[in-house]
Amino acid sequence: MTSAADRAAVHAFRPRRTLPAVLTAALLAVIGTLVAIAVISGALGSPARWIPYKGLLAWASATPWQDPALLVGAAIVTLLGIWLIVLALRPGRPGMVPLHTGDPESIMGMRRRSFARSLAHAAEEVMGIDRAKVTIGDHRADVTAHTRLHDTGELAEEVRQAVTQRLESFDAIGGYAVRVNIRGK
Amino acid sequence: MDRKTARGNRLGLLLTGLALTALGLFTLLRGFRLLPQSIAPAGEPLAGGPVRQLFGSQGAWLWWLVALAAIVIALLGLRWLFVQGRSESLGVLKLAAGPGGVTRADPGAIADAVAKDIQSNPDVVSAHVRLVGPSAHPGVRLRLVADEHTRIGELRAHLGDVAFSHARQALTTDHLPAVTRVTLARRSPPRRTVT
Repeated sequence: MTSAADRAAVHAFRPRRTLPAVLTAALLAVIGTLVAIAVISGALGSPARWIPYKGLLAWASATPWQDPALLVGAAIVTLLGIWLIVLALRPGRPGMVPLHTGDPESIMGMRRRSFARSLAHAAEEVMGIDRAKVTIGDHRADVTAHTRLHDTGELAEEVRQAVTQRLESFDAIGGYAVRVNIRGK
Repeated sequence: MDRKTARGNRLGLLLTGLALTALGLFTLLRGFRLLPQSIAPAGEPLAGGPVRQLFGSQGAWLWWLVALAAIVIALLGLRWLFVQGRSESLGVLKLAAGPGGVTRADPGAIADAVAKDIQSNPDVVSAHVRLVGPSAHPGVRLRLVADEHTRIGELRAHLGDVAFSHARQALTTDHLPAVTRVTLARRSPPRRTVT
């Protein structure tokens, strides 16, 4: 069961969708401004010269709703809209791995890259392992360890134990299952 | 950026997404003859008879309505852009207020003191502290670079028992919400100068 502090920690490190928000906001500002200038200047009797009123009206008067190019455009707009909805509703993967602190007022997270590198170092401390790489998934740590040893019988278990021990010291929220893949020469 | 902006971003993306989806779906439904042809014929031009009629008879105020809607959208877009840079940082810290006056403190100075306290831990490579929130309920945002061999449990204990505890005393508060972002890095060896 997750506590309120754990949930707060997970929320604190969720992606903030800054880039899509900035792009969408800039587009809305530009489109809104252009439409406002076009309509107001036209209504006041001195239409802005750089707006092709006649061309736009001719296109809208000649293009039926079933026009293939229009339908392709509508499909793209629909997909873009669905993508924005998904972006808004999906929590997204946090950039930090939230850690327990034991203090409901204190939230702590470790950069995902640091977390993975530290687990890889734990794997590399096992005798016989030359180098290791760890990929962090949703509550899963996939360890790929390279060795020059021919007998790799116990190695996977030793690596798993070393990585699990490091994970326990981090006390990450939600827990991580460790999967080890040993690669020999 | 604060969590309020993050929530605003999600709401803005959701509303824009819903509007685009509705617009796109309507065009697709009408173009593929999935709407009643007596009301919304697929073969009619975009600016067909009914649209021209509407803007012809009601043009005077309808165009102004379109302009108003465009201005509102532009202003919303601009506001949405500007709040991206909104900071939670605390400007002035009021420690106590009474009939004799108000005791103010420089949040930057307190943040530096907390950072020094944190850096007293030998495993900490660097610490950047910011005080955030309203003066009555301040909080701490900490960016910490620690040695990659650090024992995270000990670091956690140092933060909770020493650094944040001292910060609570300095800010004369019992509650000090803190968000810590930890990066692990290899500590560069100390430089040796041979003379």
